[in-house]
Amino acid sequence: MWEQIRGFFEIRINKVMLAAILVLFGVMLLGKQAGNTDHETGKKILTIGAFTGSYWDYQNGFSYHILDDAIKRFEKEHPDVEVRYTSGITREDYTEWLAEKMVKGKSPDLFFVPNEEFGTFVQTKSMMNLDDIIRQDTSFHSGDFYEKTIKSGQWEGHQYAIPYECSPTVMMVNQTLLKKAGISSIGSRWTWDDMYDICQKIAGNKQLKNICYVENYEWKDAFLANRVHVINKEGTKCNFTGRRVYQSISFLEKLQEMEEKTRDVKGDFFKGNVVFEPMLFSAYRAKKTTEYHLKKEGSFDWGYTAMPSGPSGSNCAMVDVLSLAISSQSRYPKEAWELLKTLTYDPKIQAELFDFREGISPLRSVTESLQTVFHLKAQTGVNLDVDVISQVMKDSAIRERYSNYTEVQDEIDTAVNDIINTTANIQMEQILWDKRINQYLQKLQ
Amino acid sequence: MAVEMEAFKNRNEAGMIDRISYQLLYLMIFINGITVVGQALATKHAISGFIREGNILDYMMVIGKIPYYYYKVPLAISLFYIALALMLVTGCNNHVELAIKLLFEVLLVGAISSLIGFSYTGLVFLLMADTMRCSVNWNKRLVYIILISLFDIAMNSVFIRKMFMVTSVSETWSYYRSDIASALESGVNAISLINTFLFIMFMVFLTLEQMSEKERIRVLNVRLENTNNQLTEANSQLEDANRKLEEYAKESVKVAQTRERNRLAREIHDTLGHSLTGMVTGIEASIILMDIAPDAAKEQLKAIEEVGRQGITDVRQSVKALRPDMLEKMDLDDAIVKMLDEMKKSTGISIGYICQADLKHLNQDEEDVIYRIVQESTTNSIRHGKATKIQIEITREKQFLKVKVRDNGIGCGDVTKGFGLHHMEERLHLLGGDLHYEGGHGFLLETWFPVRWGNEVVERGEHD
Repeated sequence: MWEQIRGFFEIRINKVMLAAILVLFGVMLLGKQAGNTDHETGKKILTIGAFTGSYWDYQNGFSYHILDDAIKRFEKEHPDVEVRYTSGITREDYTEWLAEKMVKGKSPDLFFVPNEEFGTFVQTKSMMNLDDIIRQDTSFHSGDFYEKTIKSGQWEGHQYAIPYECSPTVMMVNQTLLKKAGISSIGSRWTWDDMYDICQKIAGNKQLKNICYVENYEWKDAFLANRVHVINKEGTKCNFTGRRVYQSISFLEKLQEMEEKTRDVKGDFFKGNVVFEPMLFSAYRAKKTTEYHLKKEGSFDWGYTAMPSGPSGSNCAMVDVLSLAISSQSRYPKEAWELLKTLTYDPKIQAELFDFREGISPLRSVTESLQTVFHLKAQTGVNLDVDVISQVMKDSAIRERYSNYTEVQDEIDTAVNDIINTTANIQMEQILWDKRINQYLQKLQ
Repeated sequence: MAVEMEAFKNRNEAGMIDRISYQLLYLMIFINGITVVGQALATKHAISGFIREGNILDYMMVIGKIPYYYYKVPLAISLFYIALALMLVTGCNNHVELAIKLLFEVLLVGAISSLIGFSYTGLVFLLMADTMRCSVNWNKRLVYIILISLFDIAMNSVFIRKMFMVTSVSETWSYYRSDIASALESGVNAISLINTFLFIMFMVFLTLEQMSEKERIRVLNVRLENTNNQLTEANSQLEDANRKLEEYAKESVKVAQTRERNRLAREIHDTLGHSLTGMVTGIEASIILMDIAPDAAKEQLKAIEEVGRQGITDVRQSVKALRPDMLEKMDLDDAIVKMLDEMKKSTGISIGYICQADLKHLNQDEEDVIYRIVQESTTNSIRHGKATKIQIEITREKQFLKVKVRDNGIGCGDVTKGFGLHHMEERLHLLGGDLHYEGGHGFLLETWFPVRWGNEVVERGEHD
């Protein structure tokens, strides 16, 4: 037996050797390549995939400021590593640019994951599973983050991304209008009925004219507030019937009816003719900061509170999270993790979010520290209501991750608008649309 | 001659079939290689097209993974394929080698097929063809064929594709215009059909080749049998001839003896008979005359004496005619030396001769016997014993004269007395002697006979 095996290789040594060498070359060609090192200094090179501008669509000229600080700090702690990033990639080009890099096998070791792209990166298996690294790293506790933000980096129970910055949806309130209508203040635990009553009161006030009551309050907000999840986790089935959906749609219809009276008014919250408008906290911060820096006092007083809750739900609203992930192709996962920790878990770096960005830190201790609150108030005039923010973050929901998200959302959008705009029986329509949406989902598979 | 021509023709035909099956295999290797590399290139082109048009992310979403190093895949596939081709053209002698080879080949085919998204699995036919042409017994070959088939089924199964997250080519080729994509796909299908057809052809020619091989072996067997028969016949003929030769030899001994006797009888009759008859007649007349006329009787007796002397002379002449030449001219010792010298010269072998007896006073018949023994035995040693050394000793022990001849030839286990030995024995018996021989180590011949002493010199004159 062994003789024969040896004989096989000895006799055919030339052909077999040549074949083996060719296979070896082929495997080397396809296999993971060694990590990049700087030819002159011999340092390991870590790359970060980042985009210019702010994630929240506000240009502030500090795109890479925090990144630079974090890199400086990281390089001081790890003298054998050099961190690089390509600047100037816009948010629109970012994912495509990243995909190209990945395809070429030159994926950045660390890259920012916008909330809506998380599903994409999961599906394409671009992100490294961080479970093991987190388990081994005793200095890292995911409990330090807002629960929902850490959840936004998870897929099927595995952690793929760590939150870097987040921004909850809050309800902007025109306090000047409320005062004029004789309404003192709204708590953070308020309901649809509260909101409807306030609108009715303002409508009843003859002095207040040309006013939009609620702007941009969409079915998504209503569904979240009433704990409605029409699409299952896989995106294969839809449950559009049921009481909670009915409640949400009826409420939206009520709002619509009320708005009918002021149909010709062009509402603009920042012009002061809108009572309520849901916005990301980052939008609030940006506007407030601009106002503060321009020393321009607004013509009206405005603030924010949590989103109103539906009869069967809570004050739940969407939170948008920008995360950081390690590439599954990274050759230095350990170093990349350290750098990721510096960016997401270092309180000093995270505190800089309140100087150079519009969102808030997903680290509870950073966002809710008095120092941050005072600093924000003093430097930018932003009122960081810790109670409201902590409640909002607790109640918040993260974006669902079924496939064909946008198409399905558009379909539901059509359904809701169709139901609201026809006079037919809502529950009847629900059943019809349930069928239609399920058919559509099947077609998408 | 005709048989050879036919065999040559057979061989030529077999060679042609042989070449065709091999050429089909090479053609299969070539076509499969072109297909695989072509597909890889089309895929690579499509992916780079996605990148160029900024749709790579959508593509990645569709296939659910990152097409790592897509631009290196065609090169890698080429390398793998060349390796596979090298393995395919490597021959093997037993099933262990075949197993090793197949293992490598299966791994390579798996790697190549997975790199092109299992859209083309015709490579399996190459493995089948390779297994079929290997000269391993059918049971083992069948096992390998079944294993390869299972491998093929596995490669085509949805489960494996899901498990390895295989990207189907049609997803990638959706980059192309639908007509081009469908042309590409139908091209691949056509090639896999051609591949199947080639495989079938290969099998047909392989079967033909193996059949003709069997036929060739059958023809060779028949010829072998014929030759065997001929050989047996020739052997029996040879045996016949040998037997006849032996009979002839015996016959010729008898003939020679008869002839010799006849000659002696004639000689005796012509000479002695004549003289004795004359003498008897003369003596009878003398007896009668003795009383009547003693003088006439005396005359008559003188005449009878004359006749007797004449008879003696005649007998001498007759005996002389029977003697060897050399002994006629010189004495025995010199004759033997001369004869051995001549033999040495003519054959180149060394012959030792020692004589410790006085050979000068021997009778003529004794001399003849000695001379003949030496001559006969040396001739035998050279002719039958293939000797290169012969030792001859002549000694005298009391009244016996001994001649001992020893050689270093092959000897013989069982000595059959030929004419020579027989004749020798006969002569010795006549002199009251005998002989003894041994064929174990070389050949040893010992002869002895009693020598007549004293008056032989005188007697020679009177009685010969």
